[in-house]
Amino acid sequence: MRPIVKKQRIALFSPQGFLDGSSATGLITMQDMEVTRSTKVSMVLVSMKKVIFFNKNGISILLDILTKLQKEMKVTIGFCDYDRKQYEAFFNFFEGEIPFSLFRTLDVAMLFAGGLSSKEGEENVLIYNEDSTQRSMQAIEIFDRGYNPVVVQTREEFNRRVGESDTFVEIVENTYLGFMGSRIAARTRGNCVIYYLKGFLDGSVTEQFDVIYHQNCLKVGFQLFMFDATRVSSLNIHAANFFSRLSTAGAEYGALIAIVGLDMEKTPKAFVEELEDAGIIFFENETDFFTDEIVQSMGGGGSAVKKEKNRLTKPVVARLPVLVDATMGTLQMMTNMVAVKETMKIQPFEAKGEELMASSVAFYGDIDGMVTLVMPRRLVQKSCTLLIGEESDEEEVLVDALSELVNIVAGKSKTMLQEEGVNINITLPRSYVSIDDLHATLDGLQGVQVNFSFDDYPFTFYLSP
Amino acid sequence: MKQRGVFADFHRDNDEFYDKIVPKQLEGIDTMVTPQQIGEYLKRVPPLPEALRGTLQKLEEGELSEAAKAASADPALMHYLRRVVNSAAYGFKQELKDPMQIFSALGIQRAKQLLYAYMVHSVAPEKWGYFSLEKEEFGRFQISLMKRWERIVTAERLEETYLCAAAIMSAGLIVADAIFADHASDVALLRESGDLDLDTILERVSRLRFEQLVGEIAKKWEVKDEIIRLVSLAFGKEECGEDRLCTSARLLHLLLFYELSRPAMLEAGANAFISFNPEFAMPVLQRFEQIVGIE
Repeated sequence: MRPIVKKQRIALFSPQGFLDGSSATGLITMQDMEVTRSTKVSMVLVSMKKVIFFNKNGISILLDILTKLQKEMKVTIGFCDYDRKQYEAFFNFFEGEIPFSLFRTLDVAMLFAGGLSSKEGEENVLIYNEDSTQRSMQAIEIFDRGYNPVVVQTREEFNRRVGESDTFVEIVENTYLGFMGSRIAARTRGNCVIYYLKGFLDGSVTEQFDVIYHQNCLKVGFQLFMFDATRVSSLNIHAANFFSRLSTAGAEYGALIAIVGLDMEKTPKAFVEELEDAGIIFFENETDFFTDEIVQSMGGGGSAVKKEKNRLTKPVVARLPVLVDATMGTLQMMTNMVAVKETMKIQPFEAKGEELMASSVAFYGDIDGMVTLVMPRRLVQKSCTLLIGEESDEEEVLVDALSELVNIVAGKSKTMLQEEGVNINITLPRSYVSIDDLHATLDGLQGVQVNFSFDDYPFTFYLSP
Repeated sequence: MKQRGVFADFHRDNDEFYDKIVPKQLEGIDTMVTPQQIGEYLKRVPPLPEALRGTLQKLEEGELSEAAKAASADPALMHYLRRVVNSAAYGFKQELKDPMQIFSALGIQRAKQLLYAYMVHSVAPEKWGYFSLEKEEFGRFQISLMKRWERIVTAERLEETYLCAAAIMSAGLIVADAIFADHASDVALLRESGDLDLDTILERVSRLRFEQLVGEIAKKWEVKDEIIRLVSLAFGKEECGEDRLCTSARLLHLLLFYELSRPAMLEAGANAFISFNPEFAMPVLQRFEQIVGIE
C-alpha cells in the first residue's frame, strides 16, 4: 500500500479492515518503503480509522518496518486516528513501554509535525494526559512549535475546558509522544514562515533545519522568514555562519530573514554584526517584527530585490505543452467540462475574472519554474467536488482543496515529464489569500499566460520563472 | 511588445506558433469515467448462458440429477466445477468427476453458489488493468470468500439461499477494474491527495456506486431480489437495522474486508476498492471472530 503524503509532512498508510500477523506483512512492501523514503516527510504514521481488528502480531510486524524507516529517515513514527479502546490496546500490547508515538487524530499529528497553518490569535492548544511526564513533554513540544499550551491536570477539568473548544486551535488528548524527530519546528502565518529555535545553537542546527522545506518556500514566493529565538540561550560561530549563509542564499529570491527575541547580551557582538552584514534584521519581539514597515511592505511577497533569473528559459518553454496538458487534463477530469483556449501570451501576470482564487506550485530539477492556476471561486468549487465530496463555500475548505488540486496537477506534470526523460521535484503548493498577494509575488516577472474557458468560467494558467 | 533573450525564439505577432504547441481545444484528454461509458460496460456483460439458466432452473425445482444433466451441456462450466470442487478448499476425500457426483456432493444451494461464481469468473479479465491481480489470484480470493461465507451462514443458521451472495459480491472487483483500468494514473493522483476509495470516486464522477452496478449485473443474471438486496446492503453504505438480512449484510461486509486484508489483496491494491464502514460491522465483530477463528 502506498502512503499518502499529507502537506509534505506526514506519510500516512490507511489500511482498511484487519491488521493481524498475516495482513501486516503485505501492508508496507519494500517498494512502499522506497516510496516513503523519497517523500522526505517528518512523520510516518498508520491510520487506524478503518481498522476494526488489530493484534500485537500485526502491530509488531508494522513496527519493525516503521522502526527501519525511523532510523533511516530520522522521522517520528506511530499510529493515529484511533478510539480510546484502541489507544488502551496499544499500552496493553507493549505493557506500557511504547516505542512509538500515538496521535488521536491526523490533525493532532499535523500539529506536532508543524503542518498546521494558523492565524494570529489562534494559538491555544488544550492538553490533557493521565501521565504527568507526557503532559509536560507534550506541552514543551507544542510550545516549541509556537503555540500556547493550556495544560489541565484532571479529566474533570479537561471535560470542562473542552466545552470551550472554540478557543483552542487543537485539543490534544489520548496522545502519546515516543521518540520525536529533532527537526526545527516551522509553520506559516499568512505570508511569513516562522521557525522556532531553542537552547544553545551550534553546528547541529544545519542537521536540524529542513533545508528542502525552506528552499521550497522560497521557490513558491515566500520572502519573509522569521526565526523565533526567544528560547535560545546563545549561539556559536557555526550557527552564526549557518544563518549568514541562509540569508545570502535567500537574497536571490529577495527573501528577508529576521531573528526575533535573541538575547543580545549573551550574543557576541561580532556575530550580530556578521549576521547584520548578511542582511539579517533583529527584532526584540514578534509584535515589533510584524508591525515593522519593511516587513509590512513585504507582506504580500513583493520585494525590491527579485529573483535574479526573471525570465523563462528555453527548456522550460519547450515543455509548456506538457504542463498545459497536465493542467487541462486534470481539470477536465475533475469537472467533466471541456477547456477551450482563448489567448496565450508572454506577459506579466494579468488577472482575468472576478472573485478569483489562486495557488502556485514551483518545480525544480532538470527544469525550473512555477505554475500558478487562477480561477473564479465558483470553478474552484466545481473542480474540487471530486476531492471534497460536495460543493463547499467555506474559505478554508476551498483553499485546501485548491492546494490539493494544484498538487495533483504538479504530480501529473511530473509523471508526464518523466515519460519524456525530464525529471523534476515539486514544492508544497502555496495558496493566495488575495489576488493582490499573487500580483506582488509575480511582480516584475515575464511568464507565459494562457487563458482558457471552462464553459463560462475563465481560467488562467501562468508559467513563470 | 518586443521580447528579448530566450523569449525571442518564442515570440510571434500572432497565435499561430502557440496554436501549434497548445491547440485551441485540447484533444485526446480523457475526462474521468462517464455514466455513458458505464452503461456501455454493463451492456457488454453477458446474460446467463442457456445451459446455466437450465441448470439453475432445475436446482430451483430441487432436481439435482436434472441439474447435473443440464450442466453437462456446457463443457467450460463442468471444467470449472470439477476444478473447484476438487481443490483443497472444498476438501472432498475422493476426486469428483461425474456431474451427478459433483451436484450431489454440493447440494442445491452450494451448487447455485458455484454457478454464480462461474459467471463471475467468466467475466473476470485475463489481464487486470487497475488491480495488480491475476485471474488465478482472483479465483483464490473468490473461493476463500465463498467458503468462509458458507461457514458463517451455517454457524448463524442463515437462509441457505444467502450462500450465493458472496459469489455475487466478488463481481464488484471486476466491475471496478473494468471502469478504472484506463484511469489508473489519474486515480492514483486523486488517491494521493484525498485518500479516496474507488467507490467514492465513482460516485462523485458519475453519481453511481458499485453496489448499483453489481446489482444491475445480478439482475441480468436473474439473481433473486432478496440476494441483490443483501449484496447491496453488504457494501455498508446504507443505514441498517437489526433484522436477519441486515445482520447477514454486516457479516458479509466484514468478511469482504477480512479477505481484502490478506497480503495478496493488499499488494494488488484491492483493499481500497470500497470504503470499509467500521460502525456498520462493529455489532457483529465478536461473533465473526468466533466463527472465522480470529485471535
